[in-house]
Amino acid sequence: MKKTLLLSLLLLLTCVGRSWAQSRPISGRVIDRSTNEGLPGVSVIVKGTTTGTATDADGRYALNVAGTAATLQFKFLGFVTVEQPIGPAATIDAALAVDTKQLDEVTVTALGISREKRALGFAVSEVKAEQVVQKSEPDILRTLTGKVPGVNIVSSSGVPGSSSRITIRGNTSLLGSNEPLFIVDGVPYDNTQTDSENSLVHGAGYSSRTSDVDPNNIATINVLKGAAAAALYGSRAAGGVIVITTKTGGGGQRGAKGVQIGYTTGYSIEKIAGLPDYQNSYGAGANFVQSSANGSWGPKFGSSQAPTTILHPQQGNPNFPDIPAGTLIPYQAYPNNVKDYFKTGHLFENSVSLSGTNDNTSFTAILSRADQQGIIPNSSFIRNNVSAGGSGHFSKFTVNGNVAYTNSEQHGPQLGANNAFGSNSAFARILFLTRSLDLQGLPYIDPVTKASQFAWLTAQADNPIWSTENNTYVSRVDRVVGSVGLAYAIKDWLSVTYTGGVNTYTDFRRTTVRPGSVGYGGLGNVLEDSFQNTELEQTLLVNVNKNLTEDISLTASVGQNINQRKFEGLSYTGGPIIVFGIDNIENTEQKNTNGYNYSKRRLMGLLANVTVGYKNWAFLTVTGRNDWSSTLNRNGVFGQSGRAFFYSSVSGSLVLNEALALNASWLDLLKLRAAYGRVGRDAPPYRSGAPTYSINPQYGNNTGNSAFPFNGVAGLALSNEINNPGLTPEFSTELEVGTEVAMFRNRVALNATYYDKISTDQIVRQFTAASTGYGSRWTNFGKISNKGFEVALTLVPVEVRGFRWSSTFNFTHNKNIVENLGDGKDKIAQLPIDPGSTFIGGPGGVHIAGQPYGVIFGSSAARDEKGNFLVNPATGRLIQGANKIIGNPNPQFIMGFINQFTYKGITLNALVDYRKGGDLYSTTLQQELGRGATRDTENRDRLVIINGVQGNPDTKLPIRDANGLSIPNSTVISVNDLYFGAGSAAIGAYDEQSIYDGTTVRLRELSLGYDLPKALLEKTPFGLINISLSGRNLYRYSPNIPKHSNFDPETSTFGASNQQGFEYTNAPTTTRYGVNMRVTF
Amino acid sequence: MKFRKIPGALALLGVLAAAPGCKDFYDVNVNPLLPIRAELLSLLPVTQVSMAAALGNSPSGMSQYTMALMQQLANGRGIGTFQQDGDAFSNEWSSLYSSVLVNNEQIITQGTAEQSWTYVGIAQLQRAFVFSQMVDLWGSLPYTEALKGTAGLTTPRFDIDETIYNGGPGIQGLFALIDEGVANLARPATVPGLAKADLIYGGDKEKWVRFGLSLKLKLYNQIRKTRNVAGEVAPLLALAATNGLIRNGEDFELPYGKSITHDNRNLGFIADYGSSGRENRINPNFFLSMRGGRYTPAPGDTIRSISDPRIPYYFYNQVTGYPQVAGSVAGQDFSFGNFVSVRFGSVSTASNAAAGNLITLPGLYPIGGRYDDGRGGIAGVVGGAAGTVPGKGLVAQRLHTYFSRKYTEAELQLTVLQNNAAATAALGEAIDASFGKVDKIATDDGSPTMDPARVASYKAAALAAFNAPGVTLDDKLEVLMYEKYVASFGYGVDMYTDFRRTYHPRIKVPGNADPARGILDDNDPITQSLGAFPRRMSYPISDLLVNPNGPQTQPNLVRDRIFWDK
Repeated sequence: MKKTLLLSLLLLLTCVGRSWAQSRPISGRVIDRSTNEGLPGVSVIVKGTTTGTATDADGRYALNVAGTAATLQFKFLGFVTVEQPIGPAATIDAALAVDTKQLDEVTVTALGISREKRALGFAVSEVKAEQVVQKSEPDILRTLTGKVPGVNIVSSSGVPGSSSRITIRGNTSLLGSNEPLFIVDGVPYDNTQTDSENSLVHGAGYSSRTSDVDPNNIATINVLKGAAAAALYGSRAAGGVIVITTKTGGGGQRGAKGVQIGYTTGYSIEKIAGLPDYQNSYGAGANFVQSSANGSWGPKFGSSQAPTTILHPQQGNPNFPDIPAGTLIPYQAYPNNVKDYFKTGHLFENSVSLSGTNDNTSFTAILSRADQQGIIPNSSFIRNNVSAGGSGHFSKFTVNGNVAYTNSEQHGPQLGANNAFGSNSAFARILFLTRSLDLQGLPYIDPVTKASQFAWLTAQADNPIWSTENNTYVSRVDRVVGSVGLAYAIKDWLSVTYTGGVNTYTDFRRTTVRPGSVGYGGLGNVLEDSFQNTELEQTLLVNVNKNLTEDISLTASVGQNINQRKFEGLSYTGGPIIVFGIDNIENTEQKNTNGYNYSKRRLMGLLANVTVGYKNWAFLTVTGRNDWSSTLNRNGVFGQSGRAFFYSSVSGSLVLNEALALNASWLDLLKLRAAYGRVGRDAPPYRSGAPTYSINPQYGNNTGNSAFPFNGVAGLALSNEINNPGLTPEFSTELEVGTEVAMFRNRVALNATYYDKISTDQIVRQFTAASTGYGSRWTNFGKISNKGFEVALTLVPVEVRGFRWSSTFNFTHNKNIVENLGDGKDKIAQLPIDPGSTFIGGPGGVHIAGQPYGVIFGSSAARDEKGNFLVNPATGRLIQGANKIIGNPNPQFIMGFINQFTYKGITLNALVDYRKGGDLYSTTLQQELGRGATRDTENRDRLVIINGVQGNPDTKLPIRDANGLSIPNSTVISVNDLYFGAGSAAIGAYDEQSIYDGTTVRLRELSLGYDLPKALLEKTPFGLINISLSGRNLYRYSPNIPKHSNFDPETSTFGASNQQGFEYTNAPTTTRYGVNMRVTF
Repeated sequence: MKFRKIPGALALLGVLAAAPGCKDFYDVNVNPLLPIRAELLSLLPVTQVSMAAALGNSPSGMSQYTMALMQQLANGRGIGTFQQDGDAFSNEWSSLYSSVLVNNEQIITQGTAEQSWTYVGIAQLQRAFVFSQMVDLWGSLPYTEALKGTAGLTTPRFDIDETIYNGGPGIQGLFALIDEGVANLARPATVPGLAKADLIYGGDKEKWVRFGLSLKLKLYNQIRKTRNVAGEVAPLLALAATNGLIRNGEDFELPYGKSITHDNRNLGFIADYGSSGRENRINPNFFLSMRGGRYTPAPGDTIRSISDPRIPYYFYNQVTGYPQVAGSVAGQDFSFGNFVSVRFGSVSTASNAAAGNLITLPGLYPIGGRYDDGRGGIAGVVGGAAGTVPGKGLVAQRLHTYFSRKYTEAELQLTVLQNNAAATAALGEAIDASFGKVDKIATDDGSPTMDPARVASYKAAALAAFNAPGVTLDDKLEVLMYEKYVASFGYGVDMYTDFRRTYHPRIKVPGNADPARGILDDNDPITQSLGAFPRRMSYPISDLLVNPNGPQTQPNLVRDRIFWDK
């Protein structure tokens, strides 16, 4: 990759050659010392002048030098500069050696512009291909966890292909997307998570679409974090930018001439990460009485209260002739009834790459496939990629092109809250299954009706086995990304570059609930929806690169960027299903449309970027961009779309050790940097448009809807949202200061940044009082701040005789506060993030001025002034208090600790990460405790007293004795009642009682690799053979989670949405163990 | 090839294609899919369907919750065992304002501009009806300044409940609003599409006028304790005599349909029959009082003497063959014969047992479920799972009926005009209408009708109790309001209102007895309530938080009463 970038840089760095009087011609050839091949594009400069030229494709050059000139400099980025005295000879050759240190000194910034790292006034993190491939993880986002300071990644669940949420330096938008902009080979990559159904009821493990990125094709990932770094990208970069360069997109290492074939493969097995430790002493029932219950609060097995047998749930059912009336089954524990439900999954990844390199051209093609079968029966994610790309350099003209096709297919279970009406989730019961229920031994399907049979719980929930077999979610995505790049050097110091491309995908999905489920009334339902998203982008830049004097350099780009995004979605629903087992909307009695989505937006920007450098140790960069967006109106008038808005940045860097000429041999780099930037963001499409009506609305909720057309009559209803023609752009401004220090030949390297970011004039769908007649209106208001620091410290404590231990420590702390929620006129106290994804009366994520972003708001237990629980003396349980903030889902800090040990071709890598804080509302934990399923509640042969004081349930005040003192609670309750019922600690408890602190230390990644010795390979066709073992999510410690639940708090029912900290019986996470091989021919 | 020209040409093209002055480039900000104008005929059905959803008997409507409060259903959702939280009814509140009333208001505004006076009149009567129901539930609320979000009024003031009924300076009260609606209906106007668009009365102006006047009578009756309404009700009662109010067969109700994928079935039916999750259980006390013992309840009890012939139309027993004794079905919280349910506030170990296919469900009359022919079977839907017995879900959502008009007349005759004979006559007609409604629904369903002899003896018993020697006005009200309460099964808002203003009929709840207001203790050690019987609904917290012109705290739900609750 480097060379391509360098080649394009060359166009900018070479200087004008001028003829001097009394000059004489000199020529020669510059070669790469390692390959002895000619190096094209090397700057050949007469030292102390601006005279110079560049080598041709074969590495040859010719120029005239003044008679007084003494020295020639051969400069090529990525190579050590060589100086040769100009003697009497007419031929001066040079051999340049690769400068490994310098190679890292160039990085890609906004719009594909390469910059020396030393010139950057802001933080950019780079992740290399080897850090993300062959780690037993097919999801590119998840492989980044812990590796980039300032970045927070939360995966949603263990369902193959399910989304992850990524934010960089916190949330900048109250209700809009907070994900960074993804740019793959210069073209934006839509990472939206689109849900087919309500995640609370019939949801699935929906993907966010970076899951289409093939990690095998990644050359580098650059993370632009701050506003200054991202400002040139404009509107969508307020959340930072992740710039991915693929191998086929020009990022491949320019190898030796000729053809190289590479093959990588990896096979991992996947297991459930946190199976609870179940109690196996008590079976179904309540308060030691056996009953057809969900909970395991029944009598102790073998005790005198316990029956030895109970009736077989299907006894006497004519559809089960083998189970006559009166058939008995034992009342006993089935210790593995949960464990045996899960299977061992696997992940099989294969990738073949082919690359050809010539003097002026290179070409790479990659074919790869990832096949993941999850731990949940019938769940899989299969991704196939074909990409091909190449580049060529012809005289002053450079072209490159890349086409990538991805096809991914996801099969998964249906998820959703266990208690949602009509939920048919596979996880409604499984993780807290009644201990005496023989899940594997009892029938799960009625042989005649094919309906779900779930022992004595048939009417409540689908049998998990039946559900994963018959309630399915399938998504098939076809994505094509194509991009072209052109560069032309008009003058040695002036070039024009063009990048353009298209990124389009279709997603066809089917969500099926077969007849016999508790969902959809047992009738069966098929929902088919499809989306198409197409994004066009082009950028034209004119680049200047000139040494104004020997000390002052100028690098500048001026250009234009055009973007168009179009989204179209169609959805149909059909039911009841006619023939069981045929999952197709054609196989339903009544079909109906289920919504149509369309949006189109355009944006044009003019931009400029100027860097002035002084003596290569001081740099100042100024950027500016003016956007015109179709989603905002000029002068706030309906119909006059195309409002202009401007934003800019300034950044500077100072390489102090060179500036002060500190020649301490131990100090390699001491750099200070500072940046101030502003990024603007436009509105979603149509929000500044005219008020609209919705066609054929429906009224009700998930328990039932009255839908138009109603009795044959169509209806139109006013939209619930008030659009606003006067919307103005929202802005984030950010100040960041940082330092980079390298010492002892890079054995100590520190990169630290502090930032302070304010986001204002948020474009928000503000929830209005329903009495206005509308649920919300679009407006500008509110302010969010993000303050934090990020540190990356790399140490190489040991490097002796081929043994190297390097250790990287990443630290991220971000304080994300909602500063205010008013525009001065009408202050609001609280802003729900998404009222559509909370249960009525249930907990929800809200914004409250002065509080962290998206705190969890819900019901709480009443307390007295000292904070003691109020206990109802009649029931012995807690009393309901006010609804209040009950949790903060944002972690206090995140740490990643990466250690690498290498010795003679053996490499051991370990990543431990630590998330401190981050609250979670968990219904899985609530159910595990409330159903008495785990060993946490096994000790129950006792009565308990809730620690608190007596209170009055109507006044919510403590009961006082004659002396006005509160009275300690003395009402005893059973352990069952402690965890079950209104005012308990789990099921039926106030929301506050189901909030858990998600602090976790985790051994996230471990790999051990071995490069076969070169000597061994010499006689084989192989250039390289590497074999490695890898493991993922191998160990976890969460001190504040009930011990025996083994619950993994890194999960989110709402996936990539802004509503975080909620877990509604989600699918559990997984652990993987893999073996990998990489060979080249 | 002249490479030199290409970048320059591209640059030029790019700039030309997208220069900021080039208007077409940005002219994509109009959603091509959504209309920006609606005809009145498309708005009216929306107001009616959403009104039935938000006020009716389903998990998204107020009737289910008020029927649970009134001990007809055992459903802990939203109201818990007398423990509402601040979000309990936010969905219904928002639907009423931002689905029903805002579209209704658009009809009034747009219809006035278009001089479509019939549409305007209908919308004004609907506005009066919906606001009256909301005041009855929540008390003071946004009224004059409500529904003006697009005009920039985002923080509407709360008008006083009594003022909303009676009007005040600058505030058109509900009575005046009804008068205006009736007057508009009398104006000549073309009514394009009204016959089809009006799902309730098919565009019949006369029926709308009669509904409007009945509504007026109902509202005067509701405030009869706050002031003397004799002068105002007299002309309306005179109209009643000439059948100028809602007539038999003209019930103000939303008919449902068969379609499933765009679901047109009865919403309560979908929740109880459409999912084995079963939304509702029947409160055993309601069943027991209908099952009977003596017509006049014993002191401290609510059980009547005579078995109500409507039971098989009201409740559907899924199980069959159990002996007619208490505790007939083992392992269930409450059972009596084939009737299986859970007590209100039960804390017994059996109260959480899986019982979706065992419990008794609301039957044909309230939600279009099954008529109980005694054969049992797991309740399902048409085309549903094999082995289930289907209901149809076609029964209309009743909102205001002929029989309730008759009960209102009886109450006014008894209390305001103190004419016992007229009250007795109206009560008799009301009971006839109540049973007639059940028979009409049974006939439409294809189910058998009631035995006329049993109906007659039931009516006789009720009337005898009404006019028994030595009965007090309170005893008479108990008979009258009990009959109205039973007949109203399926629409709960008015029965909750009637109870709070008359304290009849008496209900039994766990603890927190208040016999002076009709609330008896169920004397059941296995039931608990978490608070006292609420006398109003909580405002949605979300509305209070975003509206500084509203009350900044919730009223006390037990002590702060609606203005007519005296």
